[in-house]
Amino acid sequence: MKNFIKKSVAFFNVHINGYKGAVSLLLILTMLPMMTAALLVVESARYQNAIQSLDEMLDCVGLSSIADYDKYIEDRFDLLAVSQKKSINTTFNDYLQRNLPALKNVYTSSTTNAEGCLPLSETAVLKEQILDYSELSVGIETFYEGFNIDELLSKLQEAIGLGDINKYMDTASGAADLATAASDLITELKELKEKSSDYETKKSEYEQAADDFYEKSDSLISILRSKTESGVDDLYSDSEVSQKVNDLKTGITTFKDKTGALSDATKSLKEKVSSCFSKLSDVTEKAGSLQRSYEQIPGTTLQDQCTTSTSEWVVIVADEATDVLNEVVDRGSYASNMDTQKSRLDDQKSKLSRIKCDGSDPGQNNYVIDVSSNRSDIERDFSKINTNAIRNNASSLIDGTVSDLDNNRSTIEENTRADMGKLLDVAVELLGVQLFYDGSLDSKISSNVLFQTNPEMSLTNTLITDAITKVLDGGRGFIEALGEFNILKALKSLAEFLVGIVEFIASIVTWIGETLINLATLLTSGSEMFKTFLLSGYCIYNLPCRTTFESGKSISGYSYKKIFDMFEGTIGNRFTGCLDDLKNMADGSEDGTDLGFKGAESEYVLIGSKNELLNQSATFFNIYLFRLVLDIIPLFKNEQLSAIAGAANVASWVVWLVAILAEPMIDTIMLVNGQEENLIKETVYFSYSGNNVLMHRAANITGLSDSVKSKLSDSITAENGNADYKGFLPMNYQEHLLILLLLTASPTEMLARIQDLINMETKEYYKDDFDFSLTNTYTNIKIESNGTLNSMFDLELLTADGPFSISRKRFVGY
Amino acid sequence: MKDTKGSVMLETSIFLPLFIFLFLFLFGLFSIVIAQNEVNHALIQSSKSVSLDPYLAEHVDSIEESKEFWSNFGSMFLDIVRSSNDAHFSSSSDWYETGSGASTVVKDRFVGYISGGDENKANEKLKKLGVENGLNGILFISNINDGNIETTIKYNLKFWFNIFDIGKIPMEQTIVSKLWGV
Repeated sequence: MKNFIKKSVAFFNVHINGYKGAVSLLLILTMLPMMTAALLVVESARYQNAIQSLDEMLDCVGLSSIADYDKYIEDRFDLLAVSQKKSINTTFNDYLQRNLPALKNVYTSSTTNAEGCLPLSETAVLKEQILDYSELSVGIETFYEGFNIDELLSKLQEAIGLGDINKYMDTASGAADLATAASDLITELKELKEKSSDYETKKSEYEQAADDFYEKSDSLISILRSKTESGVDDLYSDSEVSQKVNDLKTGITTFKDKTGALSDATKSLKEKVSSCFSKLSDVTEKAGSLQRSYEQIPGTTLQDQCTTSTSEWVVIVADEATDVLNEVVDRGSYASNMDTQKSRLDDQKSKLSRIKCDGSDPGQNNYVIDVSSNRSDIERDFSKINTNAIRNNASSLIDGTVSDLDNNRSTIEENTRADMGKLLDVAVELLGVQLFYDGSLDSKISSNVLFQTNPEMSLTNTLITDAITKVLDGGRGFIEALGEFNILKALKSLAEFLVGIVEFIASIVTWIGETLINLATLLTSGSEMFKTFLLSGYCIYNLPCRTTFESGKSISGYSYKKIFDMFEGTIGNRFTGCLDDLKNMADGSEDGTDLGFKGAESEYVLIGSKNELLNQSATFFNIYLFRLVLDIIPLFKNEQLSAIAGAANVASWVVWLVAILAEPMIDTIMLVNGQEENLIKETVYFSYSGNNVLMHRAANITGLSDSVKSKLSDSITAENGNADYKGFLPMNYQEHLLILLLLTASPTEMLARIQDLINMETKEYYKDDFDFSLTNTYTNIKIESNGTLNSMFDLELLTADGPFSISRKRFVGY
Repeated sequence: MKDTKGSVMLETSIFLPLFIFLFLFLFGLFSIVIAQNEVNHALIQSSKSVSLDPYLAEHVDSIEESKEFWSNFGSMFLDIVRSSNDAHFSSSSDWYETGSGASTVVKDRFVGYISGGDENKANEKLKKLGVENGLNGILFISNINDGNIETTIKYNLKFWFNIFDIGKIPMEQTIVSKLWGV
């Protein structure tokens, strides 16, 4: 250590001579580290600059690469995906090589690779791109069409008032219950008439048997007295006396049997009268319940004018039945009277069993008829039991009332019945129209071209079609029964008809619950509502439907006719297919051979069947049901229709039924003919002014036959002059589809079906160029670049590789 | 110089300027890096921006261009929105059809990205960065070929402490972008 110190001191003594070089040494020692630090700062700045420039360059090249987008998908669907004609990596590297010289001073690339990611086959990606696109385009389009989503939902909330519909259903149900109770009462009344008749017979036989008994007793007493006066010792061995004894015994037996029979008839009559009063209580209770239902529905005063007509008729029938019931028995005392009567009859029967009249030992507690007896005592002891618990001519009174009901209450005027028949014919004809689909759009898709290989079809209409058939049959049966002078049949038919209406409305409520699934969500979730609206709007304004496939265009101007032509469509029967066809086509999973839909693409998004005809039919029926739900309340609130129904009296429900079934069908017919219908109606076609509107509008409408128009104008007198067609939110077929999509389809289902459509159309479009695959429709590219930062000075030692390596990963997308 | 008198002065007068010079040189390098970065950024962004012009122009009717009414409400809306935008960030003309005027469009866009659209500010900023003659000192050459726009800029970058006006560095950068929708 000492040596090292000595050597160091010697070194400085040799090289440093006093202050000479001290400043230089100081500057070198202090400034060099500072210079080095400054150099590092500059190099660091270069590094950061290189990274920033490289990122910008990669983004710029990436943008050039994705500029090579798929033209068909962009033109047709307004979506962007990288073209599949050329490799993404090749395109990217071509542009990179042309741009890299701009970074030659700072960066040397070693490997750079670009690959596609986030294809449209991923539902979330497709959804985001559609929402991005639709936010402006659909927003503008719907604004242009006067579509106010808030107002629309608000109106729909009011229109699809399940509470109100349930109240109407309660009313129909209450009316059905009342009709059933009334028919039960009439049935009981008829049975009471039978019992009364039987009772009267038994009573007559009883009285006759009593008189016979008195006569035979008197005859025996007379012969006994005569023989005694003649000195006959053994009276009862005498043949004449013996004959009289046997006659009396027969008379006693007959009297006893008739007394028992009358007792049984009294009991049976009492039970039947009780049953009648019980049914009468049912009628009163059901009438009260129905009245409470009326009070629950809006516009009760209006409803009183019309919907009560049928119920009032039932109540009148019940009142007449009540009157006759009260006339034939005393409601307050009939039970105790009949019980007393029966008890006395039973006692009499017992006493009759204990009569001894053959001279044998009478024993104890037996009643003896012998020579000492007399007729007046016997008539007193076995007097006829008073049978005034029911009026004597009860059966004829009841019979007269039932006959009156059959003849006067069970029918309506022939003209009214004929009008009702015509109205039912209108409903049947309208429901049988051949308009459910356009025969030109008849593809049956092969599963091979579907991206979503297992499309699910939401067709829950079978129940409703069955309910419609049943309720129409019920209406027809009721009208026929009203012509048969049979009150019981009329009441039963009415009850069945009303039950059919209840089942029909219940099936509609079920349809609302199962189909309009988004309604509650939309009303409570603002952002989700808007997204679903944009998605639905995208489908409607960019996909053809049966009313637009020939001359319509997408928002960006793509003509839908090109799709029809691409799939070799030919114009066929434009308006065909009926409700039965819909039922027959219910199995939509059958595979076909076609490679794409010809024009009913919006309908596919809504329904999801591989059968284009079925998609159209089910859409038609869904629009019909949707209109039916929307029309119910305007129909019930329409004063003119109320008056028409009121005029039909007992058949008022037939008018309501026909209006409920036919009004939405006319709406749907108008829509598929390219017309607009008010979403929320004020003027309904089933009214005087509405019929006028209909006659004006229906001039060139396919589906409304002259026969239907004639029957309508026969049944409903159209007002003179031009009537205004009043209502809110006029919408065409396309816009109805938009609302149905908004309310019924889940976004996931919609997106899956849009993917199918993109796949089908684009595959077909590129069939001669390459095999298009939806899984390769990339919307982003992932870029990975590795390289080094070039040295600041281009020296031989440093140029090979810079000291800093750079690795960047970038994503560029639409 | 046998004595130590004046040696400190002498050493100081030799080494201190040398160190100061070196510092200034490093600072000058730093400035060049900054200037290159700024100009490069504006050029790349301009190229990206103009490459998108044709897409919008092709998809949106322009009443100014066609002298006809818009074909749909969406086009009308977008055209009105676009017309209210700064011309330094979008163009409704179809300059990409012939290529003539492409350099001007790129230069306008360059000004937009350098200064937000103010040419005087851009000029001042570029001069401060050391670009000789500021904006006027940059030569823009844009060509359209095979659906691509190739833009080259040429300019001289002055060194920061260029006392005798001899430290000019000639710069040239080229960017190629694909024109969308062409």
